[in-house]
Amino acid sequence: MAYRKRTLSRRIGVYVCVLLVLGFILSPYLLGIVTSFESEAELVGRPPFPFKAITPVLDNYIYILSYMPFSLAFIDSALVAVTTTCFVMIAGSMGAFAIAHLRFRGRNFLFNFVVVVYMLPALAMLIPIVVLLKELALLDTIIGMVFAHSVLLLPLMTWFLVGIYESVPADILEALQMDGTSRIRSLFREVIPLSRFGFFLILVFSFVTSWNDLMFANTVGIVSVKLLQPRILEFMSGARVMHTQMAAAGILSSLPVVALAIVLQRQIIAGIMKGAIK
Amino acid sequence: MATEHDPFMPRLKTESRDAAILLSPFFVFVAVFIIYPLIASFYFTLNDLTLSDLKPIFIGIDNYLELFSDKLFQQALLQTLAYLTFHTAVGVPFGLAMALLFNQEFRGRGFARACLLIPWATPPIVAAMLMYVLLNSGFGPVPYAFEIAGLLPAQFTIFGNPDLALLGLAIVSLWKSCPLFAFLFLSGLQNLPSEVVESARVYGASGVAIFRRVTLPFLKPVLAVNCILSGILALSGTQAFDIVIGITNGGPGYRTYMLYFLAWNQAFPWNRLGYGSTIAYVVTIIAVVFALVLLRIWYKRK
Amino acid sequence: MGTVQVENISKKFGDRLAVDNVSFEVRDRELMCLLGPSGAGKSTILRIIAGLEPPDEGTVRIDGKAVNDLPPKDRDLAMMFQSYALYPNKTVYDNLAFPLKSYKVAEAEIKKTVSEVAKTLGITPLLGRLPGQLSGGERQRVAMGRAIVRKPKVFLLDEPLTNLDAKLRVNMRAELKRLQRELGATTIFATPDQLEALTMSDRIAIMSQGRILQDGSPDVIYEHPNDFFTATFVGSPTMNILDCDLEEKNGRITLNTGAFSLDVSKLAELIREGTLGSEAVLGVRPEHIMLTRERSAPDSIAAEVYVTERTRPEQIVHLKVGSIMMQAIAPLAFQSQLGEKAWMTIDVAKIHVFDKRTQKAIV
Repeated sequence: MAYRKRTLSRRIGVYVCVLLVLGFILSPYLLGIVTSFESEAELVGRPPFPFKAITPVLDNYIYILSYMPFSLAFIDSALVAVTTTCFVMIAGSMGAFAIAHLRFRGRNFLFNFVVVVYMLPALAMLIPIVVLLKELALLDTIIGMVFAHSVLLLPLMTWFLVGIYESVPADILEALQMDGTSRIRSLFREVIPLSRFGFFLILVFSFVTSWNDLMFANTVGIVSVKLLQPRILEFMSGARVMHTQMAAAGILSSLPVVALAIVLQRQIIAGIMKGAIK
Repeated sequence: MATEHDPFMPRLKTESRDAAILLSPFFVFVAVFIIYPLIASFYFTLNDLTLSDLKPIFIGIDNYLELFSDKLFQQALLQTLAYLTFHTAVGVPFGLAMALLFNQEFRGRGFARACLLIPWATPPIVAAMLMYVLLNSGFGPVPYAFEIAGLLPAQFTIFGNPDLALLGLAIVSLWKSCPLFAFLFLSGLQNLPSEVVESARVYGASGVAIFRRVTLPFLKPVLAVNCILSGILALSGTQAFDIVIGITNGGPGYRTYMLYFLAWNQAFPWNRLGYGSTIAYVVTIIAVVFALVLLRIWYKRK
Repeated sequence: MGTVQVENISKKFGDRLAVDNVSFEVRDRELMCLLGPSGAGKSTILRIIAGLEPPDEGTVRIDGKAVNDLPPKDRDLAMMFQSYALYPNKTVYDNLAFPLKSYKVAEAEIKKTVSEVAKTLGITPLLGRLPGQLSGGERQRVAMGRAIVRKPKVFLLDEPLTNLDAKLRVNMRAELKRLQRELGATTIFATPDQLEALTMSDRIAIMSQGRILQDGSPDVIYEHPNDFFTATFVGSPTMNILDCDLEEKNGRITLNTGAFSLDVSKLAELIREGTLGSEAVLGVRPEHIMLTRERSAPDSIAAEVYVTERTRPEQIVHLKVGSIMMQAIAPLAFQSQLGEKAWMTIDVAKIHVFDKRTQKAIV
């Protein structure tokens, strides 16, 4: 770039704005982390954190990690999220394969229909699903929860997977046919690695959506299956957990998904380098 | 779909049959868990139904009629529309500004961009909680800072204040949404071919003019997507529900009740599945109208 | 290796008839070329032979056996695509090994074959790389390798040289020909480049709009085109084309163009029945026109030199005859100035005349 309009004041302006924006984005976390290391007494006493020094303590984390309901909820959430993701990926791939490749009457209609479903707010679907699950005696079970989350995710993921299949260049698929992989299953095995990035995106999206969900988790799970987010809601509405402990719980709950998001972002950048996306 | 050169078309009958067998689980699931509830949800709006006793009592359009006289519904409707408008009118431009900022060259740009996804990934409850910690009147540093600076009275509370609580929720919501908008805008900006901008500069166009004439039109599709997304999030996304239930639970004095929250509330704590479904459908209608209005605006303008 | 018979193949895409009742045969070890412009149907035929596209009508036979119902992988063919279609996430070695792996060949055998093929094509140092890291020429060799590796009965090449830059293309033409001879492989390749077809193939089938216009050796196609399209498509510089008519007068048969006349009585036996008096088109190849400074023969034609292209080792002289432009090939020694007069002598034995209506040759 030959133009030298980068005056010093402009550079400073950019950095200041960037710092402000980053501050905006990160401050809840930063404060949350600090709070989780405070003791409740210190927290409540004014003035609050930035204006006084504090001595960090690990008590909150120790408490939370050993607090059975929380740990159970953490594990259950992980279980549900992983299972849902697997289910959606497998079922979605199969469905996307059918939609992308086979010609049957009403195929286009079915496809558009699936997308339209997604427009409906989740609650509208939740109500009948809860009724259905109750009739199937699956309410308040892990399986029921997995199904519920799958309903939330399957349409969009399938739609996305169809896009992925269609983006594989036709001549490579033909080369595969010539080279001996006309069996559908092995066609699969070759196609998926070709669109590694898209698959990863779907994986992360599924996991994050399931992990973060509150409404479905709170409604489908009542007593036996208490997932993480409902538990945190409990902490927030109940009086038994202290704010500092709540903060610790919050930080711990975010770790998996935030980590995934950061990994995803790196993949995105790598993907852009290869000219893969959007 | 292509009729020419479609490599997936199975050539043999046996392949078609294999495929059909392979794919039946998917279709069974879709039929049972998606298509059936879809139809059922509409059916429920015409019924009175409780979760404890699953027998629907057909009441025709009584649920819909009840909406008209329900004061809480009307209040929630107004508050929802206000929230929706604020979320979109403020959130999307902010997101665009962020994207333009992060499109500049500066050290740590990669890190900054990575941060954009963090609010999206954060569980909404946790987001609500963290923002509460930040903003609450008891020990939140932000109100305290304003207090010291003399800008706000002592013990100022935003979530406890009936007039400001909704605004507070909107801010929390924006924390979660703006970076996502920025991320999408940024992706759009990446696709802008640099030659276009460069040639504009060579012709001596100023930064602002370039933005208006070149960048903005190019971003039109992303802009539309973001606006619609904003609508969906504000109306029925986690922004609408999780944040409300986490921080104010509809209070103080029903001032943060929004339609989506009301629908859930009616359906589950109050055990009126029919009525809840009805409100949910109203939300859908609003979302669709919102999207259509936006599309019409964008595609009439040039 | 194998023979290929294509019998009455037709294929429609929607309303468009892409292949119209095409039949031809490729003998064992022959290098056969499908030549034609884009859209002529050559790629479609290749794909039908490969099994990627089913024909609407007709049969494909390999070694006499009908293969219409066999999927591509069972036909013992290999196809090389215009875009090479290399698997982007596999190394060159894996790309070459993949066809063998699919056929469940033993690992040791695979290794041996792949290294042989790599050596033949000169790509051994590239085995560990990914396709994205290769140049166009290297990718092309890998694509060839992948086709060769299974030692199939028939090779199908879809415009194999089109994506290479000019210099590489010339080299690869010779290499491809040599490779084919060495392997003794029956090969069918499609190309829009007439020079490629003329230099490389044993036989050419020239196609236009889904039909085969002529099928024969390069010499036959070049020297005796039976169709106007063939005559003008093949040969560079292009054949000179002039409207004319044939007349019989006083026992002599004369061919009249707007600008000059030729006595073609010598060719009386070759002229088809009943074509006299009809409107026709005269075709003369530039190399069959001799240029002199002075009138050298009674039927020489006067022309004005319009521009010369010294293509070294010869030159192409563009001439204006009346209002018609023609081209002739002359040795470099022929000096001329722009606008000067020169004399053309057409070798009447080598002219081609086409019926204007049917486009078919009458001489």
